[in-house]
Amino acid sequence: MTFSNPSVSSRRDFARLAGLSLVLSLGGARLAAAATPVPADRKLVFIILRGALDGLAAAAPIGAPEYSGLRGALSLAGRPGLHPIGEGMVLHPALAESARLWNAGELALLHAAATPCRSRSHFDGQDVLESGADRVYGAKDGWLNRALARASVEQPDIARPALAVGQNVPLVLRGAAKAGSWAPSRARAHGDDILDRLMALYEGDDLLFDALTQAMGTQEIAATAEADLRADGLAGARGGAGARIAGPGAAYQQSAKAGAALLKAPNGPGLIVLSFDGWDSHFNQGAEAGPLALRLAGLDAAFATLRSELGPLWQKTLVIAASEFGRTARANGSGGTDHGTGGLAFLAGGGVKGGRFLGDWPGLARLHEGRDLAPQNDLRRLFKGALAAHWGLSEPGLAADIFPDSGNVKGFSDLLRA
Amino acid sequence: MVEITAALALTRLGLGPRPEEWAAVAPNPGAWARAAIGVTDAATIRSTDLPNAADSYRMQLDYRSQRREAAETAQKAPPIVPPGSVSGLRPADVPPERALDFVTGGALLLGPEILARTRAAVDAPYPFAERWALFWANHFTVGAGKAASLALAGPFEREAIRPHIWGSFASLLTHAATHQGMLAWLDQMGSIGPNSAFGQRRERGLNENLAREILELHSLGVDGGYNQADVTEFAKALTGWTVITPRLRDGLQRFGISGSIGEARFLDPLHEPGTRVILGRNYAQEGAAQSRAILGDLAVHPATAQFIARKLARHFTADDPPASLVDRLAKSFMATGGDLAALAQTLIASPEIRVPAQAKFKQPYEFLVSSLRAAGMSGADLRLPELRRAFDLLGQPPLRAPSPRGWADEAAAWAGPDALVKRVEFSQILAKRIAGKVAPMKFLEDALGPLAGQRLRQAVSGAGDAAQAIVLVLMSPEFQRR
Repeated sequence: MTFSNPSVSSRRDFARLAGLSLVLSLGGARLAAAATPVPADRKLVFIILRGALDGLAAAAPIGAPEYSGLRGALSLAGRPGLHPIGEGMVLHPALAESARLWNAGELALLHAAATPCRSRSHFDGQDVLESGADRVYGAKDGWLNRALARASVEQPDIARPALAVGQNVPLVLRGAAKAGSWAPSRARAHGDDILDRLMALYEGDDLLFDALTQAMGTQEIAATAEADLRADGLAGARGGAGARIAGPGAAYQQSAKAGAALLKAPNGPGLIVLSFDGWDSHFNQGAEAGPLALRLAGLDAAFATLRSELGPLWQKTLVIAASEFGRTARANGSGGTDHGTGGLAFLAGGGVKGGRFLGDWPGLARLHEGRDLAPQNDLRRLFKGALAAHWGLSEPGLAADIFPDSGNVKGFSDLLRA
Repeated sequence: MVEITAALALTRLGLGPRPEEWAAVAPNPGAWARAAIGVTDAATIRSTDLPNAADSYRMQLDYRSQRREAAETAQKAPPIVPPGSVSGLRPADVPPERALDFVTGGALLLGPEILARTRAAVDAPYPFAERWALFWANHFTVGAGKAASLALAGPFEREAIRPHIWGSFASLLTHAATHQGMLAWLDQMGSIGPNSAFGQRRERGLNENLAREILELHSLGVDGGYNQADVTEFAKALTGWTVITPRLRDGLQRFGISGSIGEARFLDPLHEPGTRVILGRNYAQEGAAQSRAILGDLAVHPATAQFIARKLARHFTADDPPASLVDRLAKSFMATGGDLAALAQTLIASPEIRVPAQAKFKQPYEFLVSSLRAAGMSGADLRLPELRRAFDLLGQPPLRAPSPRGWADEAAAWAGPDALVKRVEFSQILAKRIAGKVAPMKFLEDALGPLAGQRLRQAVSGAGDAAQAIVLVLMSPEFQRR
């Protein structure tokens, strides 16, 4: 695999776009209150679980009296391989690494988690999950992008490039702050000065000029991570916690492997976003085994891969995984679950104050609209708390810019060990 | 009447010019586009090699049982690589999201579908009809990324969409909603009326996926005024629609019903009895007539007209489409009861379609097809292995939209930094192949004609070599947009 060698002039363009123009675009935001500086090498990983993860399958409240009646054949009670995590909850048998992280105090869970969206539409739900607005289509950019912009003012040391693993940039990372994207390729030729010539051709065309500028910057990062990003290297680590898995979750693990390689690169990003698709389990999702179990195994392997591949950097990494909503508490008529409301989110990392549930547990006795786990815990509490603790962002910015009109939604404090 | 220019007609209403098309279109570009409207087979795919939905379904079942047997006899059977269709594709080349194909036989069934579909686009005798069909195929997405619908995604588009693009929206909606592909993709096969004869015997019941997505994605739109109760009621009305599996066929014998595996059927013993209330209207019909009546009403609802009009306008003009065009399309839809031929006439005659600015960023599929057309390639030149590699590289493999919403239709979803680099890589592969056969300036004229700006012309004439010049044309802002 060869990487092109962008000319000096385009490197300069990249630096200009990534840094300077961002500060300029923020203008008066420099007046923000001074925050306590956080170490520059902190890494943030955001994983979007698209399709609505069945939170009651991943972390099952088997101790709740209503549980087995609601879940029917999907009930995990009495199944082999469960990972008890206290409070009448068990982790799904496929979540061995998650249980390990939980026991090591490096994983916290937010059950009954929800965005402000209640339409049970995947697309509305993902829009709000990613935009950070308090209503559907309330913002055209993403909350992580606004957080980057804010960080460049409040915490300039951590204002590193951000990357999406994948060809395109998902909404959560779109916006004024420039973000790149990276996906493996088997073609990768370039070679001549074609990218520079295209830069000249794109002058004045914001969409293409910015995208190519970002791409050239990302290629420099990828070049330093080249060994780890080789196509065969992406097939997964061998042995140990990062052992390669098969099935529909394999793509999650590969994505995590690429993400870790990029994060580790000397000039690597401070933030990466991964998208794990395919959680929409309407039909025969299975209990301890089956299609959903395979996806959970993939998610679990992604956590394991991040931890093992990042090595010492894991201590400085915060991983958030969240889905647009949860699923019906009751099994539907075809061995699956339909679109629900309260879901499950993960917070993992070497510095997490884990081994515990965040927020409040609403129980299964009173379901939202008689069918869904109640949306007890606003996901923005997790996101705001994480940005405050990990990136040192202050509440005024969090409540006004990053999560508009969220002044009454208090971020969790105390998410990280001191 | 002011007419659209040939260049805009070819790129915006068609699939990008083929070299020989310029002369044919130039005399009357609007008439060229309109000539497709109402032509029965304008966008159908007829190939004797491609199985119908039921056959495709059965072939997949056979493949899976053969593979199971192989696994049982050999304990640890190696993955079966289906013969023929995937020659040149090594298992190691298969991205994980396609691994399923090899387990289920999808590679065997999907390959010919992808080839036929791309050939149809490259050769399209009526490019406007092909673009129109692709819009509806995406509106009624059935994806092959799921085991249940893998063998049905291709037949679905050929049977439920392409033959019905000039009829009423109600007809298209009904064909789409009741085809095997959609019934499998959105889990309707597993939805059974709890009080139906079948439901009372077995502990099976409703699955509301199809009902919700018809309301949200196919007709009213998410803001169309329905609520959870409407979704549940509609799900009850839709029970009965299913695909006959081996197990269901056996179960039906008790009711004296025979059927053949893979058929899409409405079966009374699965249908939830009773009157349904949806959007405040009572549906007392029995059997399939009930869901047909609901689909018919949804198809002509004002919210549906608005939803379709906006989506069409966005596809043909800009991510944020002109309100005037949305309004005109919605009025046409309402005035004609959702007549799709009339809707197409309205679109082509609209002034908004003639604005010179190229506002739409091409999706990868459009980029690939327009590149091959500009290069003068014909469908017969295409080979499946390299085609699949190209689609994987560009990130939009046909028949494999990741969600029921279909592929995104806005630039932000496609113009990612890495995605742009992948387009460069594809362009370099194509350019290397055609560089000796066409002069760069000729290629520029073939691909863009008067759309090519001065800066591009200078860049092409100053390029390092012919292949680089061709890459510059393909990657130019003018060619990346339509």
